Parts: sequence; C-alpha cells; structure tokens
Amino acid sequence: MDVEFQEPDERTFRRHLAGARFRAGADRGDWRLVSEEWAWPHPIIAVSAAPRAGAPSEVALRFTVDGYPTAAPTAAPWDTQANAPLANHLWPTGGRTSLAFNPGWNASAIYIPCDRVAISGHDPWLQLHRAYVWGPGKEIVDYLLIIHDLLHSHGYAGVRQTA
Amino acid sequence: MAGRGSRPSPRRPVFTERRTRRTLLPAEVPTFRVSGAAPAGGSALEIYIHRSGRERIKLREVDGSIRVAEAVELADGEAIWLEEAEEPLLADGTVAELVGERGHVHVSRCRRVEVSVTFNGPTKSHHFAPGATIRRVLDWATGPDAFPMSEADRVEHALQLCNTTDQPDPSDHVGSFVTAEGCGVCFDLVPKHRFEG
Repeated sequence: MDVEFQEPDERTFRRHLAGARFRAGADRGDWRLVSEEWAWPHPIIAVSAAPRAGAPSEVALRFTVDGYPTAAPTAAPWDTQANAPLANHLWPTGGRTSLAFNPGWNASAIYIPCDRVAISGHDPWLQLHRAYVWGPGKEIVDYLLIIHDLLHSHGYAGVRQTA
Repeated sequence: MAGRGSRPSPRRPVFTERRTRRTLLPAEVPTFRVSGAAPAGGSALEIYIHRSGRERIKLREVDGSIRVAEAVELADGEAIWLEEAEEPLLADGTVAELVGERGHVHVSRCRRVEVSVTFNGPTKSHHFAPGATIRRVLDWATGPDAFPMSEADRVEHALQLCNTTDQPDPSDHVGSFVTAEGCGVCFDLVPKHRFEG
C-alpha cells in the first residue's frame, strides 16, 4: 500500500487550505487554488482583482511555504499559462499596490510585512506594521487578505504596461 | 451520530417564545448535542458557524435535515443569526431550509452589538446584529450617519480594534469581537497601512 508521507509543515498548510477561512474566501470569489495538483512547497493561488481596463480579473501567485507556519510564506506573481514568473510589465501597479508589487526591488517576492523575504532587513516594520508581520496564529489567509486589499485599493490601476 | 430519521428528540424545546412572526429567541438550554459529521446517505451540507473567541469561524458538515439549533450546538441564552440579518433565525427550521450549503450563521448571547467608532476625535455609535459583517459596519462608519467619505476614501480606511493594531477581516462578523464582559465593540477608523521604507 502506498502511503503519502507529509512533513508537519505540509500537513499544516494543507489543513489551512481546507479550513474555514480559506474556503470562505474562495466561496466569496476572493481567491482560488489554481490547481488541486501542486508540488510542495509551491502552491499557486489566484487572488481576485478589481476591474481595471486591460487588466485581468485575478493575479496568480506562486508561493513558497516550506517551514509553514513557523516560517513566513513568500510569493511572486505567476503566469499560469506559461507556467513561469509573470513578466514585469504585467505586474499589478498603482498607489499602494506599486509599493508591494515592485519587481525593481525583487522579482521573486512581494514587499509586504508578512513576506519572509520582505521582512528581512525591515526591522522598523516589526513595530510599524505589527499586526501584519508573520507570527504565531497567522495563516496563508492573512497573506491573501493583504493582496486582495491591495488589488481592490483606490490606487490600483491594473497592470504596468497599460497603467 | 444524529441523522435524518434518527435525530434524538430534545427533552425540552430549544425555543419557546415567539417574539415576532418570523423570529424566535432561545429560552432554554438544548439538552442534546450532535456530531459535526453528517450521516452516510444523509443530505450533508457544509455551513460556516461564527462565534466570538479565538476561533471566529468554523466550517462544519451537518445533515441538512437537522434543526439549526442542533447544528450549531446552541447553548443557554444564545441565539442564531444569518449573516447580515437583523433578527434571529426561526429556530425550528432545518439547516437546509434556513441556511443552505455554505451559508454563514452567527451564534451569540448578545442580541445587539453596540459599536462605537472614533475618527479624528469624535465618536459615533450604532447598534448592529451580531452577524453584521465588518464590511457593513465600515459602510455605516464612512456613511452619512457617521463620518461621510467618498468611495475613494472609504476603501483606503479600515476599522481597527481600540488599543490594538488588529484590523478585522471585512468578512468577519462584528459579534465575533464582543468580550465576555459585554456586548460592545470599540473601533478606531484609521487609514490603511502603506508598506514602505
């Protein structure tokens, strides 16, 4: 008999994907797991975006979640058709969104306090944005909520090439 | 395990007082409990159950034919609201009739939640049903009866629990933030964070 073995980080992450907060958000259409078939530790989750001219209705993110939930996730925009990183000119932009989606800073991460790459070297964020910093009790949903908010902010203008 | 046709009968009625034509409030303790799982062959439904406390939302699979009070394991003094509903649920209806697949209910001992919101000094207050979403409270707080804002400004503000940096999810229920001491919730209306520097 084949038994699929999962390390604790993968078990916890999959439990959170099946949990009430993630599924309620999916029911609302706020986000979706792009495919049930994904290779640990890189789930791809698409987050809905407010309608903007020339922009897609969602932004897919390829996460890295090894060490979850002790280690914070990190993610980058993903081209699900090409199964490759999203070209820089197609990244979301406008207002607060441009601060977070900034390939000039790092094309492999998002500049928000709960991203493991972004928090490194940003000690002031630990106080300034304490509620958003990854820590005990945080779930992948907390990361997704920030992205969803940015993609529905007043300043969000769509993608870089048309903004 | 309780299920269609095999549901245990309560020794006492869960709801005995009819307050309006459509609503009932709980008067006695339910004397039974049900498993969260639906029986094989039953009309299983999943419902979201919101309460105050650390785990604010649960997803539970139940038999659609059981009463809502059973499905949420209603305790003494509690009542049940559908999300955004002003009045408690008709208690003798079933989950399938009143809630439906992936419906949201809120369970609370508070009949109304006294919400106070402070913005740039002044404070405004308003009552909400426990199942009102934070999004709806924000709509009131930024609307003509509180601190009027344009749509552009509204989406750039959030409700933050007083004396914390916690900003509840827009889909959270306001009743989830009452404490054991009372039925009030205090918010500050604050600009959303800009992550820079």
